[in-house]
Amino acid sequence: MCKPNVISFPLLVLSALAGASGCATFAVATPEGYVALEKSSLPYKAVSAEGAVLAVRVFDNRPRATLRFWAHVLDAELRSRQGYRPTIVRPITAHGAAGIERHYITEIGGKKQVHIVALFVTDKRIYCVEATAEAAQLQRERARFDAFIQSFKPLS
Amino acid sequence: MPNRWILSLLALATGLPPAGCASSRLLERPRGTLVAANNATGRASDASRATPPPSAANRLQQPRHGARAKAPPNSQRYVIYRARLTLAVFKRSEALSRARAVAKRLGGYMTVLTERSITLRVPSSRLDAALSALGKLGELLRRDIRGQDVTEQYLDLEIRLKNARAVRVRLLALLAKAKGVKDSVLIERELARVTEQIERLEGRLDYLKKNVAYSTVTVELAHKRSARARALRRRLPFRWVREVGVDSLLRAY
Repeated sequence: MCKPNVISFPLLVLSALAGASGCATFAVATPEGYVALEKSSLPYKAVSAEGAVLAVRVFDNRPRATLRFWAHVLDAELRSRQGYRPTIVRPITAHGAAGIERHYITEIGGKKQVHIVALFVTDKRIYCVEATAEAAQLQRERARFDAFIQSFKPLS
Repeated sequence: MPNRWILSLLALATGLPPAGCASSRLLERPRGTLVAANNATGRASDASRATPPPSAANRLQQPRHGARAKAPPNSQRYVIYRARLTLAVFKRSEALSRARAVAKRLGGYMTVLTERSITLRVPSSRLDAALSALGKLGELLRRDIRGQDVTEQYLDLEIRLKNARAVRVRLLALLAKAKGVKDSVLIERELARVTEQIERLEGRLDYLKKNVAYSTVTVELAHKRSARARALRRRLPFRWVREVGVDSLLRAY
């Protein structure tokens, strides 16, 4: 499987290891307090001891469309099909790549769960950078979530 | 013959021919009246299981006692309303307790509660308010309201009850005048039959009153996620978006 370049905080030298595996499509830094899973079904997944999860999913940009288009598609999916309640939407930039970040509230096992999705789109790929935690944990995790998303860098 | 004499008197009192004399009077009764009386027994027990507050029956407008064929004005019609709402909600348990609270607030009560639906009885005068409030508990997928006009049935029962009570009074008068054990037994047997008929009619009338005073609203709850899933899959041919979300994020190893 094509794995990303994963760097632990505070080493934020994202580009230094780019391409180390020969097929990395993105680089990202694992925040302190999280452990990146070596064998995951996702291109990248890291978990905290409390159960907060960080992840990156990569899809082909086919049919080729813009960031705005895919952001709308994903938003419609999460709101309408999965019943997520949107709370925040904002444009972001990570290492020069433009993205759209949306925050949602949903319920898992009767507890409110925050789901943050930052979408980045290149000519070839769509990147979903996700972070989720129970709403009660958000205050504590917020800075790590932001740092994680900011550390993301598409490589192709 | 005293027996023949008393049988004739009974026939006059009850408006029915003496037993064994299969003449026309019974056949002249509308067929539906017998059916209604039979139904009354079973349904009266239903009504007793779901007894609304005592004030509810008093809210009924009393119709005039008139000829059977006379149609009442619209304001005096008796209609039993049954409504069914299907809502898509994110959390069923929360919607069920909120639906129950709506009924309570409007003076109603709950009769059936399952994992996916709730049946409520609300005062008919507040049915619109109830439907409006319940419709806001989720995404309204379907709304059916059915009204069953029972005015004729109601008035018919009232007249039959009035007649039966009059017959009972006449039988009691006959019983007071009866001479001999045989006559008394015959009259008492008829009295028992008429009393039973009165009780059945009263039960049926009470059932109708309660059902007119309180409308039945059944709220069925579908899970919003699954309810909208099929429609969205049809609209969006991009499979990857379905992979994104908390569920898959937490499930993925």
